Amino acid sequence: MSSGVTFGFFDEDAKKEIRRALLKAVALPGYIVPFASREMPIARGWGTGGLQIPLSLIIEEDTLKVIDQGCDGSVNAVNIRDFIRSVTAVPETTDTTAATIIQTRHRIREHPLQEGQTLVFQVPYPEVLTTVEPDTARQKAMHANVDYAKLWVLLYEDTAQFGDSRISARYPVQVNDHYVMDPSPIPKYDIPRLTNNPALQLFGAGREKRIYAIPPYTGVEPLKFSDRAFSIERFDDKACARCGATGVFLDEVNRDNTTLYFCSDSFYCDSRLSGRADAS
Amino acid sequence: MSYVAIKGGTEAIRASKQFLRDEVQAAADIGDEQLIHGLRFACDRVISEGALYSEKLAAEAVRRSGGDLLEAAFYLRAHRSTCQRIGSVSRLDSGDLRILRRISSAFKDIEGGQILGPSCDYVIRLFASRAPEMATQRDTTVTGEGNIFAPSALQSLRDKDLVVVLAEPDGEPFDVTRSFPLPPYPRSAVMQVMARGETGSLLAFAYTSMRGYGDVHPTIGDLRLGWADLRFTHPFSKEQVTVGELRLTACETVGTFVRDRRDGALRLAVGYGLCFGFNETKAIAMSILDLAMNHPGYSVGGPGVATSTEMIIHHVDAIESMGFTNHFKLPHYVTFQADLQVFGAARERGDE
Repeated sequence: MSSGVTFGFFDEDAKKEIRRALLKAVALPGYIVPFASREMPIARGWGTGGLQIPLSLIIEEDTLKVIDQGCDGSVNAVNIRDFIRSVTAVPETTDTTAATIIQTRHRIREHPLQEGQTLVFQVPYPEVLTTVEPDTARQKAMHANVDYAKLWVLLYEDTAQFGDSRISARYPVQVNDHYVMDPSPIPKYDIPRLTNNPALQLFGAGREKRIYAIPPYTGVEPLKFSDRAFSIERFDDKACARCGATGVFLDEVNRDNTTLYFCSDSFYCDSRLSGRADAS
Repeated sequence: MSYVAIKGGTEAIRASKQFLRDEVQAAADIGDEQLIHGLRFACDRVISEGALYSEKLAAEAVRRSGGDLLEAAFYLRAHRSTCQRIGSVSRLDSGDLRILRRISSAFKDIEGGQILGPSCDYVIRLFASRAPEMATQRDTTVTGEGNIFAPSALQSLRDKDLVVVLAEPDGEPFDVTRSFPLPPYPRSAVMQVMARGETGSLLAFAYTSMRGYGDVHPTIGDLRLGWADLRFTHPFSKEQVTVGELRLTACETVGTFVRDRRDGALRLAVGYGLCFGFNETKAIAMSILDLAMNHPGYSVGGPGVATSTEMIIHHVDAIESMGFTNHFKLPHYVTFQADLQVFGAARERGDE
């Protein structure tokens, strides 16, 4: 830990303000809570919202894991992990099961999470209604009235034209039968894993200055018509070229005119290879 | 009777200009090398927004303007007006760039690899973190010594015919410095205006499409910094000769899929951005605007801003917008007097 920096980077007032926003968010599952969102030494849009949450929560006993696109070694994950370590000296891990705080961008790990773990999502667009209603005041009223008609129309228009929604990542979900929220740009594959999750799931949007949460064991359902199945990404007969895993989210890699697939979750892939196999 | 300034601005203006020169006099000692290599990104903005590829002139403009980059770009534009156009170079393909940096966020691994090159993306912007990263004994000028070439990272999608190909323009590309088009604006004209456009303006308009006033969902398919050979047909021998090299930034941005106007098939929409010098923000913003304008169907939510060619083509050039904004400093007492007359008359009628 470099000298002259407060533990967790922020001054204590900033941490308190973020924690208060987090408490409110947990008390109102799926509700978007505004917060001050301090400027960070990394750029907006690079995870400053997600980053502010672990920095305000982290204590010496924590173990940190940071992933980007499912991968611990992704450049942005490395950068964020290095920064958090430089201001906390908290031990880090790639082991999903050993981490107490996991910051993620665009994925939920393949290994199921446990009670006591906190999963922090980096969020570019916290407001699910922004594509159908840009006015913040009207968005707030629509949420209060559980008025999601415009989202249903969008869903209908896509279904009528293309047979299904065109939304791939950031699929809208309804939390605890009330607020519809943006789950951050995770693929549809990860959507069913939001619901009834034993871990605390926190969402931070730095540029847009919003925090929201899904408390443990909360119902989360994708927005869909009752006569339509919710379809997730499928990789059918594809398997990971490294560990042979099937039925998991795969990354497509094109090299020398051949297409290979690898596990998106690098720790899952590593643990299969090292024989620790599926805890799942 | 007190002094009333009626005429006699000449002396005041001369003194004011001298005052400004004195204010930025200390910049006269900054050499071309320091500016071109040390303040590379400042000079690159100037050659790009000034629409004249000359690092030396950009350095001179930055010195003279005391670091006001809009002013500096203005110098290049003004100088450009004095240069004769000799002809058109052969079409460049940014897929042929000699690469310094090339990344794709669409695929984890790509042919030729993810090449980070020099980038501020992962710099921790704390003054304290500067010291340890400073002291490599590398040659300070970037020359791109390795000859790295790679196709666009979207090539694999194009090979499978999954990407929309926009119609080829009829004949020569438009040149807005020779005549300005009327709507419907040719894409080449819009692209030229954006390539000369101001980074901040392009950024702001592109940003509207990301939040609140559009729904573009961009993914950076291929972003590259590098050098392109400038090929020109020799006027006498009629042979293609390489006359120089340009440092460029190019970006291809992938949107969602749309129905291709050619055959009704579903394909991915792609936007393109290109500018002189190294300026990733500008190239990315430009590619997003190109995407938004050519696929306005995305614009749900608020009124289209980024999707409106009319909006973009008239508002991203800072030489124009800066000039006009600053013109309000000129005397307007005649028009203001007229305003006051109308205002007074309205008040009188209102009091009746």
